[in-house]
Amino acid sequence: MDLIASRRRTGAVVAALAVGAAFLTACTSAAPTAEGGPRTLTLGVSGEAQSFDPARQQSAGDQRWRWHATFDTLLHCEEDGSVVPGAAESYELSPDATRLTMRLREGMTFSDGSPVDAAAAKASIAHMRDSGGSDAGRVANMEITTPDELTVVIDAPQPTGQLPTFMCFAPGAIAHPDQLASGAVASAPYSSGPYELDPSGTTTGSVYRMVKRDDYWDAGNYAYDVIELVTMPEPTARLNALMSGEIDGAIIEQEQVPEAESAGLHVLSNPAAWNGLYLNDRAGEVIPALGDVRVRRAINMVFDREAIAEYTMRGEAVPTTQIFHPEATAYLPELDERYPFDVEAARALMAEAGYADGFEVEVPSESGGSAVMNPIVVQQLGLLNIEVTEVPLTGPTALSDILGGRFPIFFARIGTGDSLFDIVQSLEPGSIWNVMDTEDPDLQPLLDRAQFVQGDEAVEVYQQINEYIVDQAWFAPWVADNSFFAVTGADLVPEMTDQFRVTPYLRDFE
Amino acid sequence: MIVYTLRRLGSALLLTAVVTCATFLLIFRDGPSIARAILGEQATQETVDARAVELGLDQPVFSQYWQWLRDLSGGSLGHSFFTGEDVTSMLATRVPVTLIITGVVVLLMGLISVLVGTAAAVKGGWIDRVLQFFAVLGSAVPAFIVAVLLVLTVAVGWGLLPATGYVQPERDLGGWARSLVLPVLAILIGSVGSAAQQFRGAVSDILQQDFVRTLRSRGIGEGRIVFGHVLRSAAAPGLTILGLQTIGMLGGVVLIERVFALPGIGDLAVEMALRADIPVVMGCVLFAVLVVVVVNLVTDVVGAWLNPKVRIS
Repeated sequence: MDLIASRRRTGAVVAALAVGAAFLTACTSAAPTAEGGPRTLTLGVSGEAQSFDPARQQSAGDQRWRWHATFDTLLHCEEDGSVVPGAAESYELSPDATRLTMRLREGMTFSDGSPVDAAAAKASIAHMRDSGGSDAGRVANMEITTPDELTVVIDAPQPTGQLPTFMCFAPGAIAHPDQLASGAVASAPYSSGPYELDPSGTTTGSVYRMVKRDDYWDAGNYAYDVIELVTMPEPTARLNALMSGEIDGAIIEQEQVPEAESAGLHVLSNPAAWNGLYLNDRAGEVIPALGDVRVRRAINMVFDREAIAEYTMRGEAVPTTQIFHPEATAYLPELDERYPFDVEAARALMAEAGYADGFEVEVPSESGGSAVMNPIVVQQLGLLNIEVTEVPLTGPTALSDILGGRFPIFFARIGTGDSLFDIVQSLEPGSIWNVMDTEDPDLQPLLDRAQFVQGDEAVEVYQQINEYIVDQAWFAPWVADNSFFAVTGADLVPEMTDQFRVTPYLRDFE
Repeated sequence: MIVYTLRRLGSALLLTAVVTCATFLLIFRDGPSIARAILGEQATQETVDARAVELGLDQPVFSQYWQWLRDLSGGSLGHSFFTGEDVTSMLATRVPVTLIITGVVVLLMGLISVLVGTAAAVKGGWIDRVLQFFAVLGSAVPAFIVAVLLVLTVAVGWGLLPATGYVQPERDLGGWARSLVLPVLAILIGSVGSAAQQFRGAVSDILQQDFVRTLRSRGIGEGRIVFGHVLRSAAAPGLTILGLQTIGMLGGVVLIERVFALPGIGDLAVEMALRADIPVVMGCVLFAVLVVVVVNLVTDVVGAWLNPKVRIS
């Protein structure tokens, strides 16, 4: 009796397992791609999605895809930083770089059928300027006028050579003026771009499904009918999804590259940022020693850049003394020889400056960022008797503490763009990353000229600026390192044309 | 029973107030810093200051907490600093994912724990030894390691199940079931051995008691003793074990949601805590407190119902 009961129980378990297996098998084969169905590109996005409000968008990184799909930009930036037509078929920057005139294409429409015109462009730029958005600083105090329904004119209060570039970024995104006024743009935007949001396939905060607009003026340059953007903050999840073929592309981390390549993924690797020290207190206001250029030069000479590139960055970086990446027009190869690794010479410089006994300095320590590199800083600056104390920073206040000028020195990894972008980002008095607002009367005329010079003259000015800041040791860069974008096949992204070289544009996917 | 339940609800309200107030104080930073984090590095200081005022972050922290409580009493959890979305709507899309995963795990864990724990206590021998081994193994290997191993083998290696993502059940029921299998397994493997072992201990204790010996001496069959008397007596400690495991599981779910890119509340809480998105974090904390309160209440009430010895008159 017991034997029979036992057999019945065993039979029931086997049957249950068989049903379960059959269910899973059925499920596994339940989602084939329909023959002749829409071509779908699925991408992993590394951060939580913002709302669709154009004023909340980031101008770089993989979070751009969502708004790039939805909002056309007035102009478009190429890989080398040059600006070409976008929704505006032509543009002209005045010789003094204070007025940008853009002429829009005729016949463009939003996905609701209303016209994409100068009024919409004006409302969008004004919305970014006035609503305190992510890129509001780039169009602060600018006047926008519309002489006719297809012409937009922006007047800047001072020479702003980056004005056309800014129109490739979030300030150039064109949203529906009525939706901007009502706030409806945040959740259900009408599209001016190559794709429109498909609410039925979208789960807010998780998956965004975008369907191609065939009436978009540049639809031919977008190869996919449908784009799905899947939120995946965890790098491990992105790599797993790539390896299992659930997504087609995503940003990956440096340490994941060997695993990705061994799994047959194609990894796009480009120099995208410089790593090193910001020597912010160039006026010596907090630490007088840093006001002496010999001290700043000595600091530059105690870092073994080649070793850092080889071992700390696993060979995915090149040693440099410059904040401009090796493909930038401002970059000069010979400047990389300016500060060889020579501790004895550095000590001699410190002694010559009267700081042989060094000084004390606090540096910020953020987990995952400077905290990883600070041991190098502590050890190497210790060779010059500079006593470094790490100050842990956590959470959302970290950025504010760093940008607020609290630290005379800090380690940073800063993304780079074209040369003028980097100049505006880090060198101008008032630049975001000129955190202690260094002003230098010898440099200022060059910075002013950089705003409006063009062509070969611009290259010459950018290089002069670079030479000056390297000579004056405004920074102590170590290496230019790479960013990594993995795709399931090499033919998916034949060329990455984004000037930040971190993520491809949507139109780069083929 | 009604008085007891009302008293438990009263203490739950007090617990909610204490935990949310403590969370508010912990997460709060000065207003401009939060505004800077929201607007990013390119925003001007004037814009940052204006946003801090707009969000009420210039007010004293207790005023802000009081305002949050007032909004809560009106049924509003506020709007996300970052996305501008209504927090209730954000939670409405996230909570079901977390609840489904934890619910399925609890259900399976309860079932397996009772079956295996009882078998180990009654039969002893190899079943007991295997249980001891897996209980130690499960406790020693963190759930996220199990998760990564499962993904690399089952999803990436064999291609049987998805490595990441969550499918809405109304869109694809089969896809939904498949998207849950690995996350549920990852949590279950680490916790079921320990729960079963604890239940085995509870059953084993009951089996040693005098009334069981008396029942045996009266010739009542072992099956009737176990299923009619022992399990009922072991239900109260068993439920306590399950309740504690459920509450503890909330922390583990955060990691699992990130590894599997599941849009649950844990993932949301981590992302938004890093950005000091106070309304969203407070919403997530409120959810967690409610889970703890409800689980404890259910555990006590059901335990009292199952076991006359702990029934409250």
